[in-house]
Amino acid sequence: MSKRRLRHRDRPTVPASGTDATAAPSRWRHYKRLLIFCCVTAVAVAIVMGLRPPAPVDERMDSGIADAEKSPEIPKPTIVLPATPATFEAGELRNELKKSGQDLLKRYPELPAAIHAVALLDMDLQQTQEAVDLWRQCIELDPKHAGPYVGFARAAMELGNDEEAKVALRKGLAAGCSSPEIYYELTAALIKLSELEEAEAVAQQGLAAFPKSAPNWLQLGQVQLQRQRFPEAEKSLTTAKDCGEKSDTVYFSLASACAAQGKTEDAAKHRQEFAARKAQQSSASEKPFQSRYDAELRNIAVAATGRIAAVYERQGAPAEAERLLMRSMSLDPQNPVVCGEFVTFLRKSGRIADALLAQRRLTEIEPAEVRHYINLASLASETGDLALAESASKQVVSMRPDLAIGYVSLAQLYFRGGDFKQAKWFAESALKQQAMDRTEALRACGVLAESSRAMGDETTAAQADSMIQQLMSDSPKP
Amino acid sequence: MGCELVAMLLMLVSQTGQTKAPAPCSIRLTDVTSQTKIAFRHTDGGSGQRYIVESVVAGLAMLDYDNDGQLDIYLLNGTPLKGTKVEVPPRNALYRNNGDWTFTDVSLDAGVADAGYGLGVTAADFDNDGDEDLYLNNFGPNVLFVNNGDGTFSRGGDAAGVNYGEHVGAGACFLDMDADGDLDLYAANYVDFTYEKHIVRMIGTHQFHPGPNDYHPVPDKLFRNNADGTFTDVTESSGVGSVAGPGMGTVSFDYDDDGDPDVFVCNDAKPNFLFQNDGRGNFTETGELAGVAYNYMGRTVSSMGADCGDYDNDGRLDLFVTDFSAEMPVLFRNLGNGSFQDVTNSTGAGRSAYPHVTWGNGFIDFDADGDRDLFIACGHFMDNIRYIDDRTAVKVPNILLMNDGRGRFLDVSTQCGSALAVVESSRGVAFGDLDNDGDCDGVVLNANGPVTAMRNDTETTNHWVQLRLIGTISNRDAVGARVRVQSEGHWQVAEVHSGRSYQSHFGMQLHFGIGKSQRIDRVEVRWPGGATQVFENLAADHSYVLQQR
Repeated sequence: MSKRRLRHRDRPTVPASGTDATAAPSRWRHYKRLLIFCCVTAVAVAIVMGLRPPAPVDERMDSGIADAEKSPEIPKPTIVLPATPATFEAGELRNELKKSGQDLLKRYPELPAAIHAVALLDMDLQQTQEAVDLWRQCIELDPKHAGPYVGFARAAMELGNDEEAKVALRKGLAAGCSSPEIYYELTAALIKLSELEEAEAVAQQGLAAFPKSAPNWLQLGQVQLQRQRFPEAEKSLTTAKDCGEKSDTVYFSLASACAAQGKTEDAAKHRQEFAARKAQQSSASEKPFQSRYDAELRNIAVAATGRIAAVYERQGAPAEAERLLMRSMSLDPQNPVVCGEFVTFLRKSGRIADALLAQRRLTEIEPAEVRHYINLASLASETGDLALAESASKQVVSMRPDLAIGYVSLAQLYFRGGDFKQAKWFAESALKQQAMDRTEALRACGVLAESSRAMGDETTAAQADSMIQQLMSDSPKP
Repeated sequence: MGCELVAMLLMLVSQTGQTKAPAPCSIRLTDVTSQTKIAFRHTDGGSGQRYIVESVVAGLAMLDYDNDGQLDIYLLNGTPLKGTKVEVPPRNALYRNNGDWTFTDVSLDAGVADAGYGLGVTAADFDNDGDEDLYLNNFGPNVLFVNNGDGTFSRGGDAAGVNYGEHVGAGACFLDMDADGDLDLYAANYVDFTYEKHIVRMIGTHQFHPGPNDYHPVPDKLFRNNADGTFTDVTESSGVGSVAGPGMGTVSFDYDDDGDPDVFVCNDAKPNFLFQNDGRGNFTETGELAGVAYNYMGRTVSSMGADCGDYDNDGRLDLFVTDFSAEMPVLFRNLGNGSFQDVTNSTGAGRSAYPHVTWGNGFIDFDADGDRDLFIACGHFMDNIRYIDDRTAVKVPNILLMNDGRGRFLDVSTQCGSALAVVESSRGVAFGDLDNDGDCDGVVLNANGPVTAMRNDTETTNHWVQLRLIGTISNRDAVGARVRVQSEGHWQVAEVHSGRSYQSHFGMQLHFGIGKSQRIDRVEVRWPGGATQVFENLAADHSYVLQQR
């Protein structure tokens, strides 16, 4: 990638019609170009890129994109993110969680999403009968969603009511609900009921609908193992592995399937993998109970609070949602999921500076996750913190030089900063990458067209325009 | 084969012949506790500190200590733990069977009223003097009670070499590991708990018992019988000491059918052990390779108790293992090539047990129809479990799964009599024919409660035989002998065990239900050491003593 620093450039200008001294276009060409510019570039570039004129030059800075466009003022965040995990007493936290659930149900007693969220919490807290009752209510209120059927079935099976779980899941499928989980749980119920032939059939149905679901493949393999259909089991388990299943279970089951077929070498290999994974787990499970329990309860609290917050948010109660998300963050400030949820919430609320702050945290939590830098660049750009946007985008290119998105972001930034040469170079680099979606291609072409035009390179600009046209014409019909 | 049937007719049983209206389940286990005069009440010795040892109580044994032909009952109890104050310290109890479903407490007279903290027990005639001795695997020093043959016992003392100081014991079993004609001893150990290492688990204001992962596991012990009333610790040289797990129930059986006894050990929240014997008392741990270390998903379960029996009558001994709540008990089917397959789901063997902590268990043919049913003892040890988990409770009913003869188990718990309606926190169970009527009765040790005496009142026209083996060249109790019986072309197999289920011991008598068959055509006995003997043409509905020649 380019390590060059951005240099100050003049304000980008769209060449005025008829001022192209080198080309001297005809009237037709002139109108054609105008048309392209207005219809395509304006749509593709202005909308996609969100082009804005750069800020006046700041004389105090002599390099970087921030030199080129100095926002009047970068907004300051209004929140402070917790840095260390809040301590808690397990009983109090349990009570707090239960109260959160009760409050939600009090406010939205007939709302399926609220009931579902509280049922999940009850399940996590192993108040299984309460969860069953809530999910039963949830299904009555909204029989068209798979989640409550799945939850109900899981809870019922925990209580040993496998038949009840089977009936509910069949009802869910009949109601048109479909998800990998509903097939998974129905298969699980059938397994527990010793109806292995039917379990295999249901697992197959589920995989016909969701052929990439690794847990379902694993489960199918295990059913086949129990039915002593060893070659089929091996095939299913291998597919599970190919679909991303990494648990020790898949290797254990593969070892069993291979051993049963007399494939001793393969069995030994899988057994070795299994042992390696098991060893990793053992060290975790050997922690003392209290720390394991507290960690588990903390995880439950973080997830449940996030789910309840989401309900409040969707119901238009952002204050309560924010309070809960903040609580979630305080319990586990290093949790990428909750931090990501918080970013989304803040962004949706239009609090870009706060979102940027949380997004920065996310990059600290998962420094190797490239999408965090992509989002950081985007948010920084929105707040006008172009220096941060630039460095984040460079980080993206550095981490994943095969992704177009980093080049596109930089191209846009340089264009915005008036450095057309750099903008053009990054736009062209973006277009060379395989990993690029249509939106990114449009953005890259837009920058390429405009920066080329700004540099007087009408040929490249026209080619870029043409690519935009092509991309627009290829766009899926609504 | 030139072998002679030495058949002592112990008892003829008259079947009632009455028939009942067809019912899904004919098994009837009646709670007869109140008429037994067994006043024993178990205590875990707890003071509210919730020491880990309170969570792993306790087993019981059925043995005929006085050789009167009637099975007696030995019950373990828990001495007061640190911080517990009691006026009268609880003691183990030996109840002599009066033969009429009443029992007499003879603990003090017999000299076995041990006041230690009893966890596991087994019985066998280790000194080959014609009577069954007792071994207690305690929290604290273990005890070997040597039967004097006159209704009393003497403590083996330190010289016996099997009292190895402070530790947390578990199950135990006698086995003749080297085929030298005397019984050696396997004693499982749990974890390295001491009062100083007590861990307090708090959730809110509720205190819970710590678990096995809060401590280090301790290797089990193996003692070779010196044939002079003493034992030598061969834990290390035998290979048993090469691994350590939080051991619980143990059962010794010849899983690979090579003529020597192997040992299966339940480990709590760790992979189970299966020690393969090379016939000379050298053991290799093969649990994972044999497929019994984990359940079918490769998950470690918190194994509690294990029994072995041929549930599908294919001539191979299978294993059933109980475990913790939210874990399915596991039925391992013996595939005959030294490996097992978890067939819990395909057989329904774990049905109904999933939410509960399960402990004692037994492969028992309650209705004498020729296949072995499953009894499962249930109950949590955390008295405040409902605060953190509403799926189960401290006291829950036990479970009876009836074998349908086609390799499936059906939960008949609610249809098979008052004994299954008892709601206690059950632990050890033992089965045997307490009234010599030809069917298997049972006793359940309930933690912090009275025992449950279960009389088998199954009304059936099915037939049976019971076999008591007496070794003359091999160990006298014929522990490890494998018996095959054939009736009308159907074969069944069983072995004589000392120590099984959850830290318990059943009587030495083997029970075979033979359905409608009127007789046993052939009995093949493979005595420990390999000698075989055949007995033919045994009339049904009798108990026989088969003596080694």
